[in-house]
Amino acid sequence: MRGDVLMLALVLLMQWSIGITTVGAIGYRLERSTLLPLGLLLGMFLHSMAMFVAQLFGIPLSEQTMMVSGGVTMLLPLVRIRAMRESLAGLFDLPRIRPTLYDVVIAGFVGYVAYMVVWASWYWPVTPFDAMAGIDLVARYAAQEGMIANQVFSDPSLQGMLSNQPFYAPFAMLMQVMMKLIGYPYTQIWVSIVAICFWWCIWSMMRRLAHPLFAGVLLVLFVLTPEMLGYSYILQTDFANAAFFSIGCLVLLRAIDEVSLPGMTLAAVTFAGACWSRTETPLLVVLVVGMCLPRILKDFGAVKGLAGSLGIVAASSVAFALWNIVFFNWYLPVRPSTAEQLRGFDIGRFGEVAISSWTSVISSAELWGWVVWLFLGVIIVDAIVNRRMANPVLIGMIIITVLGLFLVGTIFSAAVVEQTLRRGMFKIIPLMIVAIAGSGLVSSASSALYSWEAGRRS
Amino acid sequence: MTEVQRPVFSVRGVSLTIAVMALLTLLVGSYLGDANPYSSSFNARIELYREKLDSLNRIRGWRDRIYMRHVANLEIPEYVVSKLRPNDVLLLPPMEYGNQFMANKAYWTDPRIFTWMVGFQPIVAWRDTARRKQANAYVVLEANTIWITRPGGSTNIDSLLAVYDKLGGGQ
Repeated sequence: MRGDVLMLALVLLMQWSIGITTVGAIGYRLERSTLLPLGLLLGMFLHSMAMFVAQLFGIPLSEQTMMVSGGVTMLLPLVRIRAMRESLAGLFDLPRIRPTLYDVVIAGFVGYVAYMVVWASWYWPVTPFDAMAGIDLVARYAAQEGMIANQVFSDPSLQGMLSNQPFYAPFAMLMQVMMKLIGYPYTQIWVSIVAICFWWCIWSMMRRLAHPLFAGVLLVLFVLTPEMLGYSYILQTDFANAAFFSIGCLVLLRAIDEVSLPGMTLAAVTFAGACWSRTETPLLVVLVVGMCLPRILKDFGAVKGLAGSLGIVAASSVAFALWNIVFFNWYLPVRPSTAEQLRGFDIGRFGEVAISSWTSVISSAELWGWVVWLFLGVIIVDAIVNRRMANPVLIGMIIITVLGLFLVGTIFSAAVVEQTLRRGMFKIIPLMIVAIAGSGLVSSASSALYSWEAGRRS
Repeated sequence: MTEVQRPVFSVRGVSLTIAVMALLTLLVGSYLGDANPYSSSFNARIELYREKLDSLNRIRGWRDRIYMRHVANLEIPEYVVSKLRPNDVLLLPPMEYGNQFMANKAYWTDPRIFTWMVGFQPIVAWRDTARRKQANAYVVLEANTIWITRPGGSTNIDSLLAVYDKLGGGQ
């Protein structure tokens, strides 16, 4: 086996282990089919953060730094080994898989798409303008010079010409640094790995809500979402951010349903990953937590509920501040002009952004396939037929996130509806897919299908 | 929802499998025309590569793969750098100037992209009004032709800068 492939496998295994043991140390029990993809995603986030912290201490980024920081992060959860043992019990049990023929067909199709996505992310060099002008440019010189604050930020040829791309939240840049250190100087393989974990996680969450056939078909619709499919193998911040944010929302939803403080902690870590991957995300996290707060306070009680909610906001703030405040102010020779891009809230402009987002982005079947219209149809029919909303908190999360994106478009002059808000929808689509799977209609259809399949009368 | 054990193989399961296969065929096929947004996207983003997988995999060099993606946006910086002299400071033209002669957007004119393509070079961006005067080498484009001109050369620099200015604006 080639050295770079072996190294990539080793780093991924290390990240997987970091993520899984972190969930274990938090003490939250997740079924294995959710834990495995979520573990790798969290591992990538925590490993990139560990490398960044090493850099804050002046340690140059190198292969050794990557391995040692990963190794140390892997050992940290061991301080809670008892909780880990309990919540990870059964991790290595033999899987009991009883796939039916249609499961195999769906898995085969998604597997084929996954293969092509991994191939494309390995084969093609970085293509998007934003990534070449920012993430990948910084990563290339960070890998060469061992410093994130490298020549890109100090060379006279780029002085005053950096715009905001090189200052994007660091997750994607650090993952690119790792790929370059491993021996892939031009590719973006990690992007497709994030995509596969994201699909897997969403599928596993839908399996808890709906018949596997419906979960499978909805997974296919999610994977094939026209605008998202391309981003599953090209380097941008949005896809990874959507993975962390929407999984964070779903973990939070589950924690609220189960009244689980460890669940809230896991949501906090996942949301921190979202804030580590896109700068405006803390605003959305605050809005989502704020929207859930009445329910959290009611179910958890005032003290625990407030502690959990503040914990989520604090974790997101730390992830945001490490890059945007600490690194910008004390490590980088230049700063982005973010403050200049901020403008006051204006209700008229908010309305304009909302209308143009709806007409040119949200309602477009060309971008999102049938998902948005299917979601609206299912929710409305569900409300009429069952006279209740199956998942009010999840619907609330979707609405508040959409409003949050409008707010971002209103107060950031750099947020363009056709680009920034379009890719912001990546966070909403998976939530809509899960909301469809969790609707009363699909739930009734699932029960009926189980009975029909087993040859019973429903 | 509690998962109920399903029969691994049954006639009903086979009919569901046929339904799933029909749905997948409908989704990625072009049977529904414009009413199906999945088909065109799947073809452009997955099938296109699958069809050319063998021939693409034969292209192994990174320079070739970058060229396939960026074409003239790679070629022009490479050519320009190969012609630079030791004391040259190159003024990158405004993007609008490059756009006139290229099928794709001339994003090589952005100093960050120029650097991504060929590494750090003595360049000045057109937008960099403070350093613009330091430049002593200029890119001239014509249909299918590119060269670097310097003060005292055959091209009138003031006229060239006036064209840059007209197309790209003062900034």
